[in-house]
Amino acid sequence: MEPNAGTTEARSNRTPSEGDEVAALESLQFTDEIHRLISAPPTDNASSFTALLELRAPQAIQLLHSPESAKLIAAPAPNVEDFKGSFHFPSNNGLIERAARFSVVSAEGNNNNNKSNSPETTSNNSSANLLKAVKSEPAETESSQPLVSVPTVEKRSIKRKDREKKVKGSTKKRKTAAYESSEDAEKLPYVHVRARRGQATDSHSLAERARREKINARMKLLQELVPGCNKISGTALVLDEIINHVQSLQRQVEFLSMRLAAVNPRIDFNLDSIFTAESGSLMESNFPSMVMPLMWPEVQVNGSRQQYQQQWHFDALQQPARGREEVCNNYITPENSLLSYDSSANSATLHSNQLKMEL
Amino acid sequence: MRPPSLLKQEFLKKWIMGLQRCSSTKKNMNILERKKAIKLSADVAMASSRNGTTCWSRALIANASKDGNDKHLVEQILGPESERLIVKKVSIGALVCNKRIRSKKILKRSCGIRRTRKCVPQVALASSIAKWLVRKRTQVLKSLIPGGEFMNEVCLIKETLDYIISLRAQVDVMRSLASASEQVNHS
Repeated sequence: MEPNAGTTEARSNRTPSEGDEVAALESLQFTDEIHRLISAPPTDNASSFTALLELRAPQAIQLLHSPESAKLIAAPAPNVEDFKGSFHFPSNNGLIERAARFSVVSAEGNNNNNKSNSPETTSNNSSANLLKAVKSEPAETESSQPLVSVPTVEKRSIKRKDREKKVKGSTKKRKTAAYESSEDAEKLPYVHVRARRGQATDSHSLAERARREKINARMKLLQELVPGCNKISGTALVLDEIINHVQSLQRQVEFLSMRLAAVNPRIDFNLDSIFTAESGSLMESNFPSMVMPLMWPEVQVNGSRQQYQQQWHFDALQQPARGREEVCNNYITPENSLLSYDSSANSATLHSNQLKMEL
Repeated sequence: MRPPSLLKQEFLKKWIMGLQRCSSTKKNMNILERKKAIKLSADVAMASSRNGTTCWSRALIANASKDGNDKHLVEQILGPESERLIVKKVSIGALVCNKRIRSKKILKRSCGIRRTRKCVPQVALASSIAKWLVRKRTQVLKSLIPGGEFMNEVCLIKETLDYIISLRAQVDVMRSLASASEQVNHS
């Protein structure tokens, strides 16, 4: 009660131009509605704002100005009364909002870092969740997390307050500001725009600012994805790092394809032979975990290689006798294991399946 | 976003299938041909795992299909039906992008006369220097990402994110396959 009484007094003090009696009457009428609205659950901010906006536009702004600020802003009461003191809010709330957003993003990343077991997939998991965060960015404000909702509500109130400051004057301007604010309230999931003091509030600059903020949010994600970009500040240097990273990845693909070409004279890689060979490093890498589920499709694919069987048939007959100590014929081993897979269908498949199960 | 292991599995499956189709068509390739075939099938497999949702994947497949030698390989790797879908999207995208590029070039030429004085950054404003640097970097990034010249800044950054993740998965799979094959051959 006490802050509301204070606000009504402050409001009546601050708006002498409207006529004291009218303002006082209106303010008294609206305190009841304010009480009702404030008693509504604070998490359900979107609906409370739209409820406020159903009121007449000019009074809605006045309502939004004082009770929301009294309810939400932790700053002491003098800020409510001191009209000019509120220009500190944008910077604070900008930081709060950004911190909230990135704490949400990093929290998701951290949660998955804790959950996942293998260290090498943590970066991929966090990047995946960061991407999820990007895609759910439009729905951010509707999340029930109190961490996010409070700063956005504060931001909304600040936005309206700023707009009101700039249009203190004719009612026509106030109406347009209210309409803008109402439009933004409906589009709030998509437009996260902060109107700072002294900046224009027309739709072009708003759209541009929204675009800028989208770009900056994505740049932050990129910074977290590319290793070593976290400490760098400045778009040009971050872009430099990103370019270097992409170039190095592309070069690695080139080198690896060269390496693979050098390994085999024929470019069909028989995963079956890779499994039948006993090599300790294979077990450590996650290659088996990747490839194990692929074994069954191999059965059908290998059927297309029937045409090459005739040439190597005699080798296929010798292969079971050779055993694994035979090293010299690099060319033949992959082919033979492949063809023994094909030719002696049932027994070979059973044998290879048993080996896969062991692995 | 799918978990990376699923992405890698899918990539590996498509890649091996593509390689086997490549080898069935040509015998006795020299090392450079092999390397090209490996890289091509890897890139196409990676791009097709995106199912045409991202711009870079479509552009990559489009570039691969343009070259006459590789076109049938691309078709084989992708499979008949998906290839039609992607090629349709790609052709439409290519048309739109070409128009966009042409109009941008016309604009640049018309403004070029005015701009020639300003292309060198003026020393006075630090912000203008910063903007110029960022513009230069963005151009480089656009040249790196397949199909990047057609994108605006917002899309470019999103595509870069996706592209980096896919490249990382591709490198991981290729590296493990290479080391495994070398182990098999040396053991």
